[in-house]
Amino acid sequence: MAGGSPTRRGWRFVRRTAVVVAMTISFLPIFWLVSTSFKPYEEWTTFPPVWVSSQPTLQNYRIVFAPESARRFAADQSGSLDYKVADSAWKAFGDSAIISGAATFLSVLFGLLAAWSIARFGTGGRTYPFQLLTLRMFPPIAVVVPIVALFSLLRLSDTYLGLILAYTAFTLPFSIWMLRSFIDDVPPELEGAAMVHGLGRVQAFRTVTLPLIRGGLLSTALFVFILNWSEFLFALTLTSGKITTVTLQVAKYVSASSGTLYGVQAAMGAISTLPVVLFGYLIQRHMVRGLTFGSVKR
Amino acid sequence: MGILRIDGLSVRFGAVAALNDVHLDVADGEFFCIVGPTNAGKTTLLKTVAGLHRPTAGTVWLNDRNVDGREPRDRKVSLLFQNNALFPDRTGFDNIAFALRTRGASATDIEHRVQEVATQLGVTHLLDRLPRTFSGGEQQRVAIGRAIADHSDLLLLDEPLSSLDARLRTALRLQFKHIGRDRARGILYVTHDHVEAMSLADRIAVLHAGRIQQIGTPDEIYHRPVNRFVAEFFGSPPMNILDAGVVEEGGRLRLAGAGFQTDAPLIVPHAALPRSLQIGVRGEDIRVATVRSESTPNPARVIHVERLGRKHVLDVEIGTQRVRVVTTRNGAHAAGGTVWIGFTPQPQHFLDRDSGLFLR
Repeated sequence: MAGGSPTRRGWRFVRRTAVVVAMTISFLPIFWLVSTSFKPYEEWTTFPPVWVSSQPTLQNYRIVFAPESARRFAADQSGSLDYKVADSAWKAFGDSAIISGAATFLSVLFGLLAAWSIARFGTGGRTYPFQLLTLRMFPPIAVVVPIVALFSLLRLSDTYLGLILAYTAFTLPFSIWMLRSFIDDVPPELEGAAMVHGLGRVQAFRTVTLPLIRGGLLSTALFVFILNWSEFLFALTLTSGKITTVTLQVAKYVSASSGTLYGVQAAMGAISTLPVVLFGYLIQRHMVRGLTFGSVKR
Repeated sequence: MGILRIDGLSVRFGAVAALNDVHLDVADGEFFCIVGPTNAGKTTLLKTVAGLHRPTAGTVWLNDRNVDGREPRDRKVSLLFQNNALFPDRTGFDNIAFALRTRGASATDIEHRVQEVATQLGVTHLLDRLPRTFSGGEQQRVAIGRAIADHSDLLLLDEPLSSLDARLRTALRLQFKHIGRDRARGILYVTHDHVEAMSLADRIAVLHAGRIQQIGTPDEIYHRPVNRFVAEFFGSPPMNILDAGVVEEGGRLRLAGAGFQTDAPLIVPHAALPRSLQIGVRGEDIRVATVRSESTPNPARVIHVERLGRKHVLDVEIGTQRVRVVTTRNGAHAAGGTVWIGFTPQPQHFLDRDSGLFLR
């Protein structure tokens, strides 16, 4: 629709350009990730860069999921990669799914209870939420050594339970902070009305408030899941071979003769974003704001 | 005994005392109004009776039962919140049916009762809709419906008519009288509107800064206020309070203040009055004339004229004191002009200047 004064058209142009630039900045890494995952070894680090490979290959994905057969397959073909990884990444995806999934569930569950208590009963006093947030600002590297010591003492090192606990503890402040803001959006009088009209306190929270913050609950879960899924430091220091997360697996793709295996890492990275994207897609229709509109006079 | 008794109730939030040693009781079948300005503690009082706030001290008796520490649902009360607090994800029907459902009423009972209430309140068109599509008045009526759908011992209403237009407010005011008889054994009704309280209540409690100032029938509150706060809160315009002294003139007791003099009523025993006091005069008991006469001997200056149809409210200055006068005579009073005023009947209310308490 061409129209409006020249100034208006000028502004529209500026606005659209800004959007295109922002989109490019956001999507370029993802494009590069996917593109590289299909490139043969020769094209990973050439200059000028190859944007889209002219001879795409699935070899990177073969190495991710079936390294041994990929070795045999590659032997028939030109150029072979020297890599030590012998395990399929399936194990890493499985471990990450168990740990991130369980830790996300626990973090959101405990976060919800704590957030309700803070929002409704002022638990811990006025500054308590800020203290929690300060915890979140603490650099993990500073606590990782004592945790390693503690975990080996408790025999939690290299166990699912150990990592689940560590992840839950580390994302809990985040869950509490986020859920508290969603609960604060729901007027306490709604729970009061439910209580006067026949429900107990917990029942009132469950049947009145909880359905109203469903969107907030799911978005919190998504963010916590992303944090867990991409966590590296704890995974690195608290495991010693029995458990492998996705992030640890990515770090394994290096070789003495070929350096970092960018194509394989890209393939692994591309696959590991899929669960997160899928999760986000599934919950997007629940992320509706303003659900409480019309319930109370403001 | 009554349906509600409150004994020495105090509620503190941190350092703030929201309620301070409140005593009151509501008789079976009584319509009881709590009136007071913003922040008087009215809402806190209702929520404490409902069990949503824990009192710092004192006891609440409902239907002769001590309900301290009881959960709200065990108190057989119903509460209409000031902000309505409708469940936003439930339809009008489901909102009104809420209490009936939690009690486990049968589907036919619920259907019947919700329709009855909705018809009574004129909200049948809202039953299938969500609260976000309601207007402010509609939200309020549905919230009233939710509060009265189920039987309760005591109905607690927090400013239930504040979002309604004047016409609907008058209509519902009348309905509340019936609702009280039908749906609950007593009503505790909170409002900041003294007219609403006067027209509805069997008895009124005036609350100010967390303390009960006076409890009485509307007539008692209006004609026999105990202190300056109550006197100035009721009536539009509120009662005028003037500094005055008592002088004796030829054996007659007269009241004199800056710029006025008038006879003291004969019924007042001479010795009962201190020499220096304040008098309370309703705006309706001040006579205004354009010329000086026996009954209007005191000159005053008109500051402002408020024209309200049949009656006019004049702000006049007598000496240094400002007084609001109600006159039905639509004389040609204009701001800046001079009028003559008199006190007819003679002033009936006398306050102790220091304590602000009425002597009679």
